[in-house]
Amino acid sequence: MTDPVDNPVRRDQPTPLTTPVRIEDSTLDRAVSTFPLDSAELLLTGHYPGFPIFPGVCLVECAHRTALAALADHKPAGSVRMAAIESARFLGPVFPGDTVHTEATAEAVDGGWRCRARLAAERSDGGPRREVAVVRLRYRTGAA
Amino acid sequence: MIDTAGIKLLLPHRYPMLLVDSVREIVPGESLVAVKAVTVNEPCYADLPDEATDHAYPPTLLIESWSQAAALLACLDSPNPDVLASRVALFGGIGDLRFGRPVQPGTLLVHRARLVRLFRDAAVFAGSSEVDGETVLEVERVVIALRDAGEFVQGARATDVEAARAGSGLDG
Repeated sequence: MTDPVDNPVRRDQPTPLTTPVRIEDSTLDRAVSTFPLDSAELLLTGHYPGFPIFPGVCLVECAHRTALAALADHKPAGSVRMAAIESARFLGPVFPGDTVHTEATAEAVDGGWRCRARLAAERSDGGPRREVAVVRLRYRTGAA
Repeated sequence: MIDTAGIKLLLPHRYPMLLVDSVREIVPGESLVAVKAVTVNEPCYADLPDEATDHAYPPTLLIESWSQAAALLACLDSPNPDVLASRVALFGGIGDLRFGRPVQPGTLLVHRARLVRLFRDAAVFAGSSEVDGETVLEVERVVIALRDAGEFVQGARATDVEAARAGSGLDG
């Protein structure tokens, strides 16, 4: 097991999220992350005015960032690209004040990897974790 | 043809999450063609270090853009410009969605969406997106659920909703 990764605020790739997804732990083929949804997250002003709710595609973004961490130890040659969303089920809403906890695992498949992610949300003032999404992604390697 | 102002009468999404620019063709209740221009001046490209060379449009925003185009098909009959007055469109699920070549700034996304099935509280869409005639996204199935905003306000903390409203500078 590696120590929790201390990643400073950085955006090395385009992303809809202002706050970075924080990788809490990553080993070969597995990673865990947290994303605190603050009311100041820029995209919330437009989704929706007067009713901020975390977009489902941003839950996929959390899964994506965590999946990339799960794949990092493979050090794939060239870039790793999201090839497909095989499936995604959205199970409940996520609001400002929630922290999204994501666990992603990876397995090698023909042409790349399949990553499965389970996402749960927990309110900052306590309360049980509630499952909010289950996502299955496929990645390919190679030049864009 | 529906321009941006017309889209704002149909969808509740606003900057920086309004990701469809105009509708080029439409067969009401069946299918449409809509476009979105991708530019490096969008918020998703903010604060990248100078040494970052990858400017591929985030795949998640490509899905969101296509899905908003699809949602317009359902909203034509039931305009939804204010979720507090009507309903919230939420992702229910995605099935068998595939990406082609990454999308770069300086290109025009052409979304093609068709309504597969319409329920009282949900809609199922399928279609694709192209750039210069090349497919960059294929969607077998996206399910969008429609819920009354009041269902959620009880679940969310009022303080967070109010804080976000205050931050947005809009009256609730």
